[in-house]
Amino acid sequence: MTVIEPVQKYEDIPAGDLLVTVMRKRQAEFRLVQICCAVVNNQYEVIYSFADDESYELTNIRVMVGLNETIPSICDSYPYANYYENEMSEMFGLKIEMIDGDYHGKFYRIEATEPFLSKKAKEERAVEAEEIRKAAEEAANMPAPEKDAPDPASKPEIKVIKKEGGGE
Amino acid sequence: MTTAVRVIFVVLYVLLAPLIGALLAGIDRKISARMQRRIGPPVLQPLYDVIKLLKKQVIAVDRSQGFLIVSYMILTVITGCLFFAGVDVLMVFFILGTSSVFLYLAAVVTGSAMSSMGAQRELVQDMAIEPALLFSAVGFYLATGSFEVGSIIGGPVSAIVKMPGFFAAFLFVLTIKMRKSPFDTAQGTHAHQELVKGITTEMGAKNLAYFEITEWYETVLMMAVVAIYIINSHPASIIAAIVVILLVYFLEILIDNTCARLKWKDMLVLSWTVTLISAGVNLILLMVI
Amino acid sequence: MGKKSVIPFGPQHPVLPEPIHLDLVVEDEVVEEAIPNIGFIHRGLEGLAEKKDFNEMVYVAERTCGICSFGHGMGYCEAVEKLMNVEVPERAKYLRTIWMEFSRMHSHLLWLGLTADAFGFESLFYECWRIREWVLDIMEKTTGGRIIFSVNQVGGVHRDLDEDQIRFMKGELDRIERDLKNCEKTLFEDATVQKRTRGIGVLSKQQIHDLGAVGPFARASGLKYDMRMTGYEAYGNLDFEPVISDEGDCYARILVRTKEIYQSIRLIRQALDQMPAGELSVPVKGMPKGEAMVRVEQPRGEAVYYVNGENTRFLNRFRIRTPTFANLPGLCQMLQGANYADVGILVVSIDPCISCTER
Repeated sequence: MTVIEPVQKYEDIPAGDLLVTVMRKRQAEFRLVQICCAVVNNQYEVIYSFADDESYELTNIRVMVGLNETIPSICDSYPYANYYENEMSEMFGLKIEMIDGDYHGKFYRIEATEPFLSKKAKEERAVEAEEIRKAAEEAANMPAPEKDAPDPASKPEIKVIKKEGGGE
Repeated sequence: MTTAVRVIFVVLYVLLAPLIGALLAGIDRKISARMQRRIGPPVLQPLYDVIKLLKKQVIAVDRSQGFLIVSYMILTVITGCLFFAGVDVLMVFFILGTSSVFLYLAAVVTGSAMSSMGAQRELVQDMAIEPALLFSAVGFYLATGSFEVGSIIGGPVSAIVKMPGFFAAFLFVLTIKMRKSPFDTAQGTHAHQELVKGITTEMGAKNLAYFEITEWYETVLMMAVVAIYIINSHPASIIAAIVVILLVYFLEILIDNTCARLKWKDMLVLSWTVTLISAGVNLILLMVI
Repeated sequence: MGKKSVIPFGPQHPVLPEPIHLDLVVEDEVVEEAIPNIGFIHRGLEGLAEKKDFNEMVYVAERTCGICSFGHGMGYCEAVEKLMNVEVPERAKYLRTIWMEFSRMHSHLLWLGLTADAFGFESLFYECWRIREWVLDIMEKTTGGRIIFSVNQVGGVHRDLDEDQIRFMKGELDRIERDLKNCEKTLFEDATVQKRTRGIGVLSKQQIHDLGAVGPFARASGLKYDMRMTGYEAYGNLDFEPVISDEGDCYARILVRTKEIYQSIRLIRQALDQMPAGELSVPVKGMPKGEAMVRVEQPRGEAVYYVNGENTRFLNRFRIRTPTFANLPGLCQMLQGANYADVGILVVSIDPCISCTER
């Protein structure tokens, strides 16, 4: 019997590159094996594993997500990822948006909410949320910029070239 | 048959049929268990079960269920009494069909999904059985010249000699009537099917006990119909009839243990095909000859 | 007729081996959609990893499920051994392989009985479970437990097999093979069985791949994928090919699982002949630090074990991705458009082990 030596790779990517990486894996006909969530250093560490069924190669993509950040769902590429994502958001409180088939916390019929998130992490998350809220308030209360300086957020002027109406 | 004999038969039926039915059901379970290399429950277990059920508190979703089940039971018993009183067999089969409507209503009145679906399948089962039963009645008339049970069993020759095809069709639908695999879609004796217990899902305590007792009355009635195929004016034919009944019952148990359960469409198609071919051919032969 | 109703299927249902809840949207006995819910047997076992010593966690991991218990214990031990770079002795590897294959046999026999029960054939159900009793007797004689063996430890195994036990095993294997061949004729050729299983729940190879299904469920549709080909434990020294079928219906799944029982018998015989003498376990020094991911072929398919340690006695994270979790989307796909009478058989044909899925 020929023994196939499986290769395992770990890749670290930022949360912004998640969708593109996953789409590439889908193009290469990889199978989504599992999505695992852990709380490490007051951050969510989410590992997406993809496998190639011919060579038994396993690629693990690691994404670090803050306790109050939101990551997009990969259900467009892998429709069956919704069970993993529902489980993660229910058990760990990880915020995932646009899940196709979102159970809104009712996938597991259990009474406890976010049972795998430790008390310490919950407190840390509340503290961070408070900080983010304060930062947002301060940004909203900032004074308006001066009138002389061109406002970089305004739209550029559209120059309209008037055409002579011929033959009226 | 004199009136006194008819009355005796009716009284015997009403009193003894549940006991005989329970015994037959118990023997069924024991033989099935031995076929499956188990020891099986004691032979009187169905009786113990019904006695226990009668003692339980009734928790029914709708109180009319009790009335409907009792109606079903009374109608079936009346049908049996008519049969044993020697009245015509066609009327017996028709009233039997009517009594099953009460069973359907009793299951549907609870509003449970499983029960309602089981009840619908029960109606399909009735559709599958009716042709064969009616053909049997017609066959009796053509073979012995009368619908009346008294005349059929008083004839010189056993009815089966002239109606083997009808007998075959009747045996086929007996499997459906007695709720045995491969045709136990509406309610199997075991609760391991997709409709939980089908038509009896929502029946408990007294209502389930009445259902069980009615099943016993019906089994005895069906066995009696098998008997009138065999009995003729010679007294020895009665012994032959009992032997045939036991053989038929054993055949049902054997078929139950060697078949998976078929879906209701297959059951309908199969039973109508067998009825039309076997009973139909017999009918044509009887009318021609 | 023509009214849509939502039938709650489970969690308490006689045809289900384990508690899963399916909301079936049914119209005229045809299922339009199935929405699963789990959590009825959730014990939060993964959370216990943070509270139990990593050596003791084996016992917890084993009790994730009663049917696939040996696989979970073995997978956990392998993951921790990979994390701590522990090399298990050869004899222990062979012993683990043998017990794993027995575990697979008893699981498949259990499943065969349940399938027979699901389509109403009780005698076949009792026959398969009678054969399974012999497998459980072997297990009890060699490990002390019928279902939960508790012979795995991080670094090897606790118990050994002596000559008497090996002789007993070989005799029993012959008897099991003989009786299963008798059952096989009914399983594969009986007309009523064929009517209930052929053409039911067909999934093509592409659909199976797109749904991410694993195990015999995927192999019955032609996907040649068996984690034992990667040669973990002693599988590298044994000779076998994955059992596949091309039809992808319930009948093909019965075929694949029955053939896998024969394959397991052959593998056990090979392993018993090849097993070298040696130690049973090596001592494990130090604390788990880092992370490791291991994939094991359970009876139901590929199971993934992930451990993450931070140099303490307690693991930071222990995750099991069980094969039934990966097969759930396949089940929901099969149930769409299925006849209500087939729901029981379809649910049983993915071999659901919900206590694994929910941990």
